[in-house]
Amino acid sequence: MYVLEALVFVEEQGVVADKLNQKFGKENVGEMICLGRCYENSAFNYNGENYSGDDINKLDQIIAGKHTSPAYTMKSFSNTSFLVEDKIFSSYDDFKDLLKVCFATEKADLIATLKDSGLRGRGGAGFPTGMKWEFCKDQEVTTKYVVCNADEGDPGAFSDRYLLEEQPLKVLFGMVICAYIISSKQGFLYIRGEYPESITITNDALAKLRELGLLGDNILGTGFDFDMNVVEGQGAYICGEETALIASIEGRRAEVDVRPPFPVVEGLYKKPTVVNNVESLAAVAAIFKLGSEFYKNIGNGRSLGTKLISLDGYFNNPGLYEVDLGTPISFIIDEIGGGFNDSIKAIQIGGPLGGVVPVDILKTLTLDFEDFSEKGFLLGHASFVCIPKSFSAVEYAKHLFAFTEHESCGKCFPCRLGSTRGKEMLESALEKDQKFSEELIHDLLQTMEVGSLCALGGGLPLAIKNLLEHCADEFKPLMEK
Amino acid sequence: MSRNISLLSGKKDDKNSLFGKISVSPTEASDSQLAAEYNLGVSTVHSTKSFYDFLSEDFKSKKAYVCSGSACLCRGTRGGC
Repeated sequence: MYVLEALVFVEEQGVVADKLNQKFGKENVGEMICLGRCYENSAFNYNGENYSGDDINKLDQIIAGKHTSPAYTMKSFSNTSFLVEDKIFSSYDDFKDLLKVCFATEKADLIATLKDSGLRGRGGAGFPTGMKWEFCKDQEVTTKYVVCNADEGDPGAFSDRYLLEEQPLKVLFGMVICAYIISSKQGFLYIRGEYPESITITNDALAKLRELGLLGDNILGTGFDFDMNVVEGQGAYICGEETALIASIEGRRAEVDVRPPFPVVEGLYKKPTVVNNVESLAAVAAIFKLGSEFYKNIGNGRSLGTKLISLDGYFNNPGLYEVDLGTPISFIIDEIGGGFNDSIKAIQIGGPLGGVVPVDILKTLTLDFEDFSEKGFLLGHASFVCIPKSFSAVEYAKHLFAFTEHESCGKCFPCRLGSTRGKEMLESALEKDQKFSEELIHDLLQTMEVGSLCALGGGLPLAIKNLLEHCADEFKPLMEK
Repeated sequence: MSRNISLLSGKKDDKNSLFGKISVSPTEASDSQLAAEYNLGVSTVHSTKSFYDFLSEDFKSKKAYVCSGSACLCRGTRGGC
């Protein structure tokens, strides 16, 4: 059975690449890292647009401009849904009305509401959003910036893409109200270039807001001036790290900077800057619309509110879902995802730097910051990437090292060299039958973990260690003492 | 050094970032012009331009791009080339 599955897998390998090569010639086909189509896979980009699933069989229609990708499943399983909800806040009128309400409220009260809601950043670190805004508001500097981190590079995650394309007003509202509170006149949305549709839709929404006088000078006659622009990412995963993102907008190499000083004190152009993730900003709109009481009643412990999750194509019901924080993973896998359509050995949650957890262990967890960090895993963007039994764990580990090697900004040598050496060790083992030292790989991971400034080099070892532990039978024959 | 670059980059109009301009700068001559406009060395602009996948000539010459993310890898639909 195992052999049969492996064969099926080999047969499928590279099917999209093959068809693209056939059509355009091998030399004309490049690669992009994760187009956010993980719910049906087979993703590719042609002429500035993304396609996936069965689209590869419609290349001629695509080239003729006669085909667009079908929609995917997006649904809320939350008790009080907001992020995946069109009734509560979706029109330009809703935007204007809520802005008026907020403008009539003291800034200190708005901050208090945000702090009371318990909202923590959805980008990965989980820092309380209200506190971040308050720190920035308290800086006595005239020029400040608001930056939306929409460089959702984690392969497997498409929640930011969903928000920007389906709910852009929620995100943009979060930015405008942040600018109002901290007294900023200019904002930037740093959107990754792999999401061309997100860039177009966001730009359209910005143009409409300007037309309605909800962006620009003297917004709603309050004397508050604010505008924001989209900055298009150019294919560097590291720009999801906030100091690298700031360096990128400034036109520097996107190398990670030492913190402190934190961006709220010295950020973009060395001015106080709030950098928030897309989902955090959308959640802010929910809190000001429905009140902090509603928000903090959802969730578990210090993980409050709802969270978007991305389920990949190995689930029977792949797609984008909103759930309450604190939802048992078993419910997510069995009820929301409807189980798997293949035998799954482990799931990587929270991007390439998140834990790789066998399904039976995963089912004992709940989806919240605390439970994940207590067990040594990372929630990240809550993306679920399934690794089938037919896929080699060693191959997957090699892929993670190769990804890090490609995406390392190069600043810290443990990350830059460590990822390269790690990839080489596994490559030699897989391709040249050359065993690698167990002690050496653990030393390497230790060095990367403690010697890297940011979560790329520092976070990769978690995933590799998980693989070494949970898939030991696959690694053992390739290792020596 | 990078502090100076941040400050010089921030001196220009806020709305169009230097990065946005570097991203669409077509030639070495326009890179130099951009550097002069911002009082930066050409090496700064070049180091930025050479950092990003999408800004390499090789990348730009492609007609289609296959997804090489982890989920597509596990599904076996990506390139593997």
